[in-house]
Amino acid sequence: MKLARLLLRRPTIVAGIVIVALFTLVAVFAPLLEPYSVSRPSGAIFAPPSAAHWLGCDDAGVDMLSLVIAGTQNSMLVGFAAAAVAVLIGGTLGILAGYRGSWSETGVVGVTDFFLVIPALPLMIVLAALFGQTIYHIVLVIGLLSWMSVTYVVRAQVHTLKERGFVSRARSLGAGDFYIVRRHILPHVAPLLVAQTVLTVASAVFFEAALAFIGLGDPERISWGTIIQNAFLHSAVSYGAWWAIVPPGVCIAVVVLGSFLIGQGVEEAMNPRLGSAHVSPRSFKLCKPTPEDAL
Amino acid sequence: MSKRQKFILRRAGSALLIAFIAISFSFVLFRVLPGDVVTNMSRVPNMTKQAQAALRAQFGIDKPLATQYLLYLRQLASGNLGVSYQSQQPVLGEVLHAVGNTVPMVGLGTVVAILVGTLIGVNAAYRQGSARDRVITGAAMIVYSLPVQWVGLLLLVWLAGWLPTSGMSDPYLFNAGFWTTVQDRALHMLLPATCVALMLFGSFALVVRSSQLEALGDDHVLTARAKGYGNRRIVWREAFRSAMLPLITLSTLTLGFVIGGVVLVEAVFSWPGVGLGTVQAVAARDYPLLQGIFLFITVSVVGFNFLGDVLHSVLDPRVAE
Repeated sequence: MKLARLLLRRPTIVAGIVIVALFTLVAVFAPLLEPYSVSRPSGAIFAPPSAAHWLGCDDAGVDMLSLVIAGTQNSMLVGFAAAAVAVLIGGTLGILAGYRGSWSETGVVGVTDFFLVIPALPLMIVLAALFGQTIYHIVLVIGLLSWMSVTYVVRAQVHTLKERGFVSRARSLGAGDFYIVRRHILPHVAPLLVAQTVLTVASAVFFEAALAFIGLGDPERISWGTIIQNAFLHSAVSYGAWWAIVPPGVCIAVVVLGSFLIGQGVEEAMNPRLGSAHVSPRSFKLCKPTPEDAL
Repeated sequence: MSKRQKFILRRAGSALLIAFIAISFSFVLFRVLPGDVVTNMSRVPNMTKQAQAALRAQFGIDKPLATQYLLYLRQLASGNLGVSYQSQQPVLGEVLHAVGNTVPMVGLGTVVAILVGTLIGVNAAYRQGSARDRVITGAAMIVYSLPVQWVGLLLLVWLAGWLPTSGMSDPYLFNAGFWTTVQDRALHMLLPATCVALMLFGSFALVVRSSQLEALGDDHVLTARAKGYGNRRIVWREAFRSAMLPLITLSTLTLGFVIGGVVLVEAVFSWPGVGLGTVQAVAARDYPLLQGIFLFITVSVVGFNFLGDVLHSVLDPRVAE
């Protein structure tokens, strides 16, 4: 795995992986990690952070740390599930368009352009309001409107792959389309798909929080979005209880940053042109791209 | 016909096509999906079949779908978006009123974001790789990844005593003079507009930085330096002029997107615009209003995209090739 080693040499990618992995672990083991129950009060109303309650308590006296841990589970679940839906759709369409070309490409590009133009958040609000508010609907609504960038990135990559020697050699040896895609295209697109998945996790977490804030979250599940909404609805602001607001937002920001780091790093590594040479005006020296850029 | 005119015509055609598809898409969303207005109402106990049928006839949903679709298009063409369930007023008027409230606040925030983003983006590119560059890029990325409703709540917690925190004007202000009213509006606008600016400036800074970096590497910048021009002139007159194109594209895209994207800001600050209208329409399941807002936002996004294309083709004739 030459590629994996090259990717792991970039400190930003490693930092991103550590962040996302940490939150995923917390999400998986959430019930074990919660110090208090999230359904019963364990402290005073809006109790400030203390030794017993590291992050204080919310409007009902429920421990904030436990709430944030429970929220991690559902937010990351929505993130990964929606990303899976988006990457499945986007990857399939991207490979189809890039590999087949002709009318299927025209069709895919047209549909993708259309969904790129339609503003995502308003459409998600409309769909969530019409469909219903279980976590599955939210995953679908977010996933079905997040595949467009995946399609474009994958399509561009497949375009260049298609012209490479090993594809035409395989074809001249009589390999079928399905075989070529599975053996030669997919392995080369896989790192991009991973990067896109991670980026989509971030935007899905973001969108989940937005939908929850508008009152379209799953009312039976705690997520970072519903914690923020709850703080807003139950006057954490007029109480000055910043500890009931800050933690979920910080979690969202950290996960989003971690995903940016991974996604950007992988895309830079795969597309050397992004790190092109520049003449810096002050020092007048040519900044060369680093060796691993020329992958 | 010049190449540019052809390009603009082609773009106008595709914008109209997209708008038409979006309008039809919205019909499908609101009419064809399971459940209509009357299925909800029929949960009312003791509602007779006759009453249900009468209601269906009144709403026109007893006709075949194709007829309904044509009716819908004809009504839209004459500006009839239906009647809001909440206020019993025509949706068009409600939407326009909300837009009138949203535009000044969002406009202020967006302009501030563009100015600040441009300044710090150019600044970061000027010293690529320096500590200042890293701080600016890092800060832009961090602000960019903060959920805007959360930023708004924190602004509320910190500044609640200092600035008006909700609504658009002081409800207890009677018979105030012109300047007092203006001052009152401006103060109310300050927090939500700050929030909009914070939400947007990060992406502007990052885009300006990368396009400015690219422009600084261009040959004409090298020539300018060889001619001995000063740094200020090189940065702003030589490099920034060609780095402006992505900025203009992003600005028009943002202006289109932001009218719908301020849902969260308006919800936090109870700003009675399009976003708060959306939230209230969702809460009350006021589908005609929701549809009206959705149509308006979509059409404005398509319109601003088209505007961006036209501007781009004027500033950079190569895109029409």
